[in-house]
Amino acid sequence: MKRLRKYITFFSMRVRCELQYRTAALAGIATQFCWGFMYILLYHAFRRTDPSAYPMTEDQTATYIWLQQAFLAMFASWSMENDLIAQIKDGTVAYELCRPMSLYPMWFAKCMASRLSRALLRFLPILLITGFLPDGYRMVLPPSPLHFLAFFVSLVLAFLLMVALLMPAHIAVFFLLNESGIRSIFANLVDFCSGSLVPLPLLPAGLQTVLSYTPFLYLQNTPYLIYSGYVPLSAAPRYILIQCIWLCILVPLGAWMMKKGLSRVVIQGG
Amino acid sequence: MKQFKKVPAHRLYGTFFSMHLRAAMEYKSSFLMSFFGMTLTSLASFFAIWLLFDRFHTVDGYTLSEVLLCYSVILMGFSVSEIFLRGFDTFAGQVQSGSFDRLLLRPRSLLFSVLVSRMEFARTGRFLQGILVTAYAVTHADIVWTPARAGAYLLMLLGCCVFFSSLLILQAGVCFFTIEGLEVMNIFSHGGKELGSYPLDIYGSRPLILFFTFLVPLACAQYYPFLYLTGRADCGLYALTPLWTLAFLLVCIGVWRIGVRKYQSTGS
Repeated sequence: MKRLRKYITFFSMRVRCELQYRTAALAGIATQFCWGFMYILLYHAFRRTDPSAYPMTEDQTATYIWLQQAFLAMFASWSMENDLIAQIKDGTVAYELCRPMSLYPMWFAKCMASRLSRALLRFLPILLITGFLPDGYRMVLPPSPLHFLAFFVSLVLAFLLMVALLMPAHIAVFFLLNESGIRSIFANLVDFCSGSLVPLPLLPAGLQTVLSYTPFLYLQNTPYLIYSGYVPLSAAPRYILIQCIWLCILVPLGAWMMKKGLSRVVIQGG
Repeated sequence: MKQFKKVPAHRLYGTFFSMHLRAAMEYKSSFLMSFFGMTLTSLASFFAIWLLFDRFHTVDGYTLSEVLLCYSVILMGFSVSEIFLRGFDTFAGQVQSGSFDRLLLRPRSLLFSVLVSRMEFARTGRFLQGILVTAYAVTHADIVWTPARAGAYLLMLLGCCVFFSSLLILQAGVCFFTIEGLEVMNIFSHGGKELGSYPLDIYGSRPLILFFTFLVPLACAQYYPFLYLTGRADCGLYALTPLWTLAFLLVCIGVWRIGVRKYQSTGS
């Protein structure tokens, strides 16, 4: 517990920092509402055109979209930690190495904290308001409390998985010294493959099979589909297990990359 | 005292243009990276449309090539505004840092000074992609091309450029009042770009179309001429609606002017 305390301090620092930007949060919520409506209207149009080809129900679609908007900050692929990248580029990462904590867990915690703090301000209003929208646009309750439990576990794992995927993207800056290329490749890849551009059930079946062998399918897509009952409860443990397996692969991989990256750092004094 | 001759605006613009171009070329690898990054982003949204049509084939009677026609014209209009009006896009920074004060001292109109302050050539990737998608859409859509329809298409392209440019000017004008950039403005520019990827009526919402006709004239720039182009509307007025975006441009410039008049420097 004692070892955890410094991370908790980190986190509360971040949340208090983020709370200063309430207007930004409000603007974000407004934007996300418009975005959510737009996507729901779009997918309903496809559904109207050919109901037999559309795999989800109206409620499932709306719920998927609203969950996505509510937890957007947690899974935002575009936002990388700018101060971490700046540290790598200007060499202040050397100071960080002097601290009596290892770098990978610290960066992991920082990344989690800034995402969670942004999401904390935004998700409740969105979920509350969208729960009262008219039929077909409403965010519905999960079929059973067990669904909710599975959703919650899977959401936490998906979030950890997202941060574990983000770490190598940050660490790659050690090798390339420029983040713009990585950012756009990473963001587009993750956005497309994790269902944040198009809900994954709407993609061709072959592509979904391919994605099921990558970690991307197990990001936000998995918890949202468990919540709405699209993934049956009996299959949920399998998804959760795969999420755990990917975490066990990606976290050591990131830590290893970090070690390699740090071995290249040359401190020039000054 | 020696009299300086005033350089005509278009020649001055040319000087700035080549200056920004040469500056961008100094950092070729960085330029190429953001060039491909930008292209990748719009490629992903193109791919999304493509895959959705792989499953559904049509949406509300519109075929893939018709939708791509909509998508590409918006993409081109949007990227033109991003390339050439970058100074307005990033205007919040100038107000915050106080560097706008310097522009006030220049012997040129403020709109011109902001216009030439920045250009973003890395965004040309999106424009090129727009051209490629247009080429595909035009050759695959069942459109009987007449001179009137070709004219309608050109007006549509012009309308989209003017529409997105106006939004950027409006966004910059609003900065005078709020000091910080307004994320909410993105709803119209980026939201308009996303919405406009499909013909507006597929969303099945009348208020939406009315809003985007009268308040934010996206439908005038793209949707109505598109109906004329594909033969869904015969009335020639549909082809002329993009001209309405010019009025919108004037309104946006008006907001900007009011903003300038009440501008108080934030100091440096």
